[in-house]
Amino acid sequence: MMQELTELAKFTRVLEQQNSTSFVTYADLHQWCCEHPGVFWSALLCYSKIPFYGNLNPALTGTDFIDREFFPNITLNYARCLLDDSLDTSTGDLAVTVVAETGQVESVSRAELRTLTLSVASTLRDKGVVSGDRVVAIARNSIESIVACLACAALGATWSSVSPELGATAIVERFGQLQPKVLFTNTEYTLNGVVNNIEDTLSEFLAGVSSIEQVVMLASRDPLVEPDQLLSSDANVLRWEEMLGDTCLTLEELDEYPFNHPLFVLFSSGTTGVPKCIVHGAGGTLLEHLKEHRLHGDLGAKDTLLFQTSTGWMMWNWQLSALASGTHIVLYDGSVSCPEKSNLLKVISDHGVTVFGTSPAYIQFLIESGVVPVSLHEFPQLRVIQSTGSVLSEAHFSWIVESFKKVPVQSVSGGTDMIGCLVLGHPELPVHTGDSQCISLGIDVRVKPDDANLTKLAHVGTGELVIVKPFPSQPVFLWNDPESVKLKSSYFDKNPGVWTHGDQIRISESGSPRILGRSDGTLNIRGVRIGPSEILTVVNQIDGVHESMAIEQVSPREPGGSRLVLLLVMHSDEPLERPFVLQLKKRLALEASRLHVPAVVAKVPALPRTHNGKLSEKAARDAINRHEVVNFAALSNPEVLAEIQQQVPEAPL
Amino acid sequence: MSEEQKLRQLIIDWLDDNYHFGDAESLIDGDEERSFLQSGILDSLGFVSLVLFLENSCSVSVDRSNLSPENFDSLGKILRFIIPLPNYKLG
Repeated sequence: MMQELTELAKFTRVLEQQNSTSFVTYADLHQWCCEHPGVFWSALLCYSKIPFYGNLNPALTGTDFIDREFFPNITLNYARCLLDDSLDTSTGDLAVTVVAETGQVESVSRAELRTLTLSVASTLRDKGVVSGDRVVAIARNSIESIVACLACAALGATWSSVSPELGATAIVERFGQLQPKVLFTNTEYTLNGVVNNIEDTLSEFLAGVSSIEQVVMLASRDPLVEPDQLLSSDANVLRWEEMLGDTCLTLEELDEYPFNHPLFVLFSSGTTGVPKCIVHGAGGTLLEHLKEHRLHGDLGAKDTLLFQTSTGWMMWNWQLSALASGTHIVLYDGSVSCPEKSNLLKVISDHGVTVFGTSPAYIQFLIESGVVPVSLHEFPQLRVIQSTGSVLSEAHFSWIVESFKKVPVQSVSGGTDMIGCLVLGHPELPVHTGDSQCISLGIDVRVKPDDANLTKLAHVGTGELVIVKPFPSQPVFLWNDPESVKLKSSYFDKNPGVWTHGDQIRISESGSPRILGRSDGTLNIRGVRIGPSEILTVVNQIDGVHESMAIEQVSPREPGGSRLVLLLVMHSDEPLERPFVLQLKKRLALEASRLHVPAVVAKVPALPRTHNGKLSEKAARDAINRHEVVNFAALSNPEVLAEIQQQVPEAPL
Repeated sequence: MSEEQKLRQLIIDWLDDNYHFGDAESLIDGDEERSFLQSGILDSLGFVSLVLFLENSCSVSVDRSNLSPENFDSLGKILRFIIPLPNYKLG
């Protein structure tokens, strides 16, 4: 029997026929798409069959990353694209399932999701939400959070969400910049069997963000927070049931918005200041996700996708877009290992997950806790395992194939900055252990070797990951950045004219890429990117602290392979007392999150600085990892490195 | 200080360093059999980290089939399980 062509193969044939060309290898196809971006992205938009309106020409205006605009004459509605009934294959098709650690399961069909979304959108419209308004959410994984997001998108409002585990300071720091009109929120969440109330966080948030006019409680099982409990807030409070009114818009009544209309705001990890608000457009986001889902992932209505993510990570938005391919998405709410270590594995098995997305941290947990998935379940439907968040080691690849299931292991990586992946899977290419399978179609990724200039960018080799041509899912702008000053400094200062992503990459002769880690100061702790400034903002306010530095140390025993080290320069010469360290950790846990709590706190006499007075995290990082300090000669006080090494032991192997 | 007391303090310090930042003793509240899971003192991911720490600190090896609440869900259970293991030695 002839094997059915993958979506990528079908699309490749369409491109070949339309352009009278042929592609022998994926590298040929990739190169052609990069050389003909307008033709490629237009063809993909048409091939996807999503409902859009207007003229495809021009596909791209402008000449560089800053002034470029994709599809200025196209309009669409993101929610309509995801809820389009042409994707329904039969009555009762599942759209979303949410499984809680308590075992509770909730599902909605595509038709039910459509009705819920349009009903909530009607109520939001009646409450005065209009295109361009910001709607934010402190939300756990739930059907309601999906509905709220889609309802917001249906009206052209801009959505941003965080997990309820995030501390109030960090939430205000993010959402406060957006001057949001509406807040959707849970008031509690369950983790590891423990119910955590976040009413204090909520009160602090509303006291700090006065623009909120409407608060909506996301789940009816949450205790309703009465307005007088919300301290200084003047906001109205609505229960979820009150959002489900009698009037209901239809998909046809929804307005269309420009291709680059702001859809999502994600947040940078705040390497050098408060987190930047990265605004992503509806069309660019959707087109990138359609490409990754359908072409690279071969996802369709036959599939059930479960990607381990909270609402505060871009993979939540990424997974949501899979509805536009008719895929059933499964969300998990709570601890993956409670009440049983194998909790999540049961969900994968019970719900027929075909594509499971995870992280090295979870794989490491399974290994260390002695859980052998293959001995518990057969996972008959599972056909691909994806991993992202941090570097998936070769040992993890091998373990997955031997102990989980013998399926392709796809290490994918990209980021918040482009709400998608730069390196990822391919439905036909072989998997080389430790590598991703390919570079994302239409994204012109190059390697800038250390010490090379921009005229020597390569397609193979090791170095800084740069992108040399604009792409649809780059941010449409950064919030409060009318002159694009922050945008330029974030991505284009280091290597003018090309996008510098902040990762180190190696691309083999065969074309398989491998992300080697961050090239900037961002920390990656247990698979979560953390900006050092989020830690230092808290630490530098503590009495006795003169200055501080947060850096990452290689630690093979930690999930994710590294641990957080905090260097402190104190006003006093006295050694650090244990109560002081514990108090510092507690403040970080409360005001930021547990992930921001350092594994090691060390007092040092000074921090390394360059001759122009700038702190050098790179030198300190190299020192604690016992690497050669590459910029030794650029330091004004290199002698402190020996002291730092003495105070920070090597992590246990 | 007895061997049991030493190990107990080691575990309290680890809980404080990694999870409760000075509040571990008050959470246990004098009840050596208080369930770590049910009282939110430790989650199942934390069990794995604690076992790795104890293996390193006490020179023992824990068979992963024994990594269960029966052996690790309270201070008392951990002390009774870890101390009799072959090669147990603190420090």
